[in-house]
Amino acid sequence: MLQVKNLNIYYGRHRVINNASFKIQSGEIIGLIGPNGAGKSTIMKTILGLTKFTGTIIFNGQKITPTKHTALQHVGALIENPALYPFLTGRENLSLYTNDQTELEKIVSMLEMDQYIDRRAGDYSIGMKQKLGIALALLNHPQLVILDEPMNGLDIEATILVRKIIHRYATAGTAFLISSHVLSELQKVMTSVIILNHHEIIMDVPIDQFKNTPVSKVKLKATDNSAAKVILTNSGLDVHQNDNYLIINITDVDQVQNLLYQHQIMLRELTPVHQNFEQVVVNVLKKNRRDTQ
Amino acid sequence: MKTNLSHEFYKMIHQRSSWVAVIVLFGLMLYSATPTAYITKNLISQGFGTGQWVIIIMITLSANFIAMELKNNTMTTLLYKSPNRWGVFVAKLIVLIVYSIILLIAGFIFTLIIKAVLVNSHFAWQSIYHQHTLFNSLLLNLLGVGIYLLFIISLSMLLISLFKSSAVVIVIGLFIGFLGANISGLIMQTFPGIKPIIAWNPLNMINIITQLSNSSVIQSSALTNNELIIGNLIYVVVFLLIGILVFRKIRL
Repeated sequence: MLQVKNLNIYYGRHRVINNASFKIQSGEIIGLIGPNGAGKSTIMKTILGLTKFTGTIIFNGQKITPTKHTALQHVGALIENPALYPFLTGRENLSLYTNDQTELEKIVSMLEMDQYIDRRAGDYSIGMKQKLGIALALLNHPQLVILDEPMNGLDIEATILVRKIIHRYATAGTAFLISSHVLSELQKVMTSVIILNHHEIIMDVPIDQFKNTPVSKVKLKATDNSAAKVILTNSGLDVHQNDNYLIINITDVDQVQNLLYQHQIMLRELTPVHQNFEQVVVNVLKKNRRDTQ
Repeated sequence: MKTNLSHEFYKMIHQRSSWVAVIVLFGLMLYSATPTAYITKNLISQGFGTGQWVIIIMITLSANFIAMELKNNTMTTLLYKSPNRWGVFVAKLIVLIVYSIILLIAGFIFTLIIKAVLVNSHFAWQSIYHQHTLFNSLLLNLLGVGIYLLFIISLSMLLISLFKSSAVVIVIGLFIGFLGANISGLIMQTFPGIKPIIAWNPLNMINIITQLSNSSVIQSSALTNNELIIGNLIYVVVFLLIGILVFRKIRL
C-alpha cells in the first residue's frame, strides 16, 4: 500500500532523515517511535507531500511528491496539533473536507461528539479538539491514516474509545502510522514498530517480536527474603531486592534453589521477568547510541 | 481549484471579522464625515475616505487570511489535501479580491446614504468637481482604489508568506499606504534627472486612487493614468509570482 524507499530529508544542509525505507500494508498499525527530534513528524509530513526529499514514496502505485498529491485523497492525517478553524463549529470543520455527509454523522457519533459538535471549535477543551482532529483524519474512508500523538489530551475513556476505533478501522483494511510518546498505549494497538534514532530507522519489526523477548532475569519470593539475599550474595551470586522480591539471573536458578534448600529456606514464588515494551525500546536506543559512538 | 475556492469562500463567510469589517468601514466613514461642517466635494468624491479605510482593512484581512492558517495548524491539512500549493495561494487571492470589491460596493452605498442624510442639499451629484461630475469623480476614485487594492492585496500576501507575521505585514502596508506617496515624491524631487524612471517605483502607485478623477495629481505622480494602471498591474503580477514562489517554500 505505502512504500517509502531511500528517503532523505534535508533542512538546509542539515540532514534530518537518513536513508529511511519501510512499507505499510493494508490493515497494519505501525508505531513510529523515537526520541524528540528523531524525525517522526518530519517523516509523517513528508508522506503528506509537505516537505522536499530525495528517494521515493509510493502510495497505491502512485508517487507522492511535494507537487503530486493525487494519491493523498485516500490519506487522513492528524499532525502535531489538531488542525481546526476556531471560528467554525466542529460540524462545519468536518463539512469543509467531507465527501460523505452520512459518514460524517457516523464518525461524530462513533467518537461520541454529538453533545458539542455544533459548538464553535474555539471553545473546545484540548480533549474535544483532539477528538475532532481524529475525526478529520478518519473522513472520506481513508486507506491510510497518519496520527501524530493521537492520545494527547484524551482522558482514559476517550483513549480506550480511540484505541477501539483504530482496531475497528484496521480490521476493515485501513492502515495506520501512529507516533506516540505513551509507549504502553501504542503497544496495545500496533502490529509493527519502527524505531527512529539519530535521524535513521534502527528497527522495523513486528510487535510480536517484542512479546517473545528472551527472559534473562527471574524474581523470587522466599519464606525469608532477607536471609536468602545474604546466603546468595555470600555465594557470589548476582542478586537484587525489588519490593518483596529478589531478582536473580535465570542461569542461576538451579543453584539458587539448591542453596536455599540447604539453608531450609522455602520458595513461595519463582517467576520469569519479561522486559516491558518501554524497557525494550530504551535498551534498543541505548545500544544504538553505544554503537554509533 | 474549484474545491480550494469553495473552501476559501466558506471560511471568509464564516469568519466574524469579514462581517465586522463592513460595520467598521461604515463607522470610519461616519468618523470622516464629522463634523458635517467640514464635508467638502473632495471628501464626497473620495467616498468619505472609503479608499483609505478599505485599503487598511484589506491589508489586515489579507495578512490574517494566511496567518490564521499557520496559527491554527490548518495550513498542513489545507496543503496536503490540495493538488498543489499555488492553487491554495491563488484561491485565497481571488477570495480576497472578491471580498474587497464587496467592501468597495458597500463603501459606495454608504457614501450615498451618508451624503443623503448629512449634506444632501449642499452638494449636487451633478455639480462639477475636477473636470467631472461629483458622482463620476466618486466612481473614478473607487475604480482607482479597486486597482490599487489588487496591488496591496497581492503585496500583503507576498509579505505574509515571507514573514509569517500579520503584525509585520500590517506595519509595512500602513507605511506604504500613508507615507509611500510622500516618500516617492521626495525621492523624485531629490533626483529630478531620473524622475521618469523613479516614477515607476511601487510607492508611487498609490496615486492611482486620486489621479483618475483629478488630473492635476499627474504633477506629483509623473505618470499618466494609463501608465499608473499598467504600473499597478505589473506590480500585481510580480508580487503574485514571487508570492507563489515563497508560498511554495513555506516550511510547516
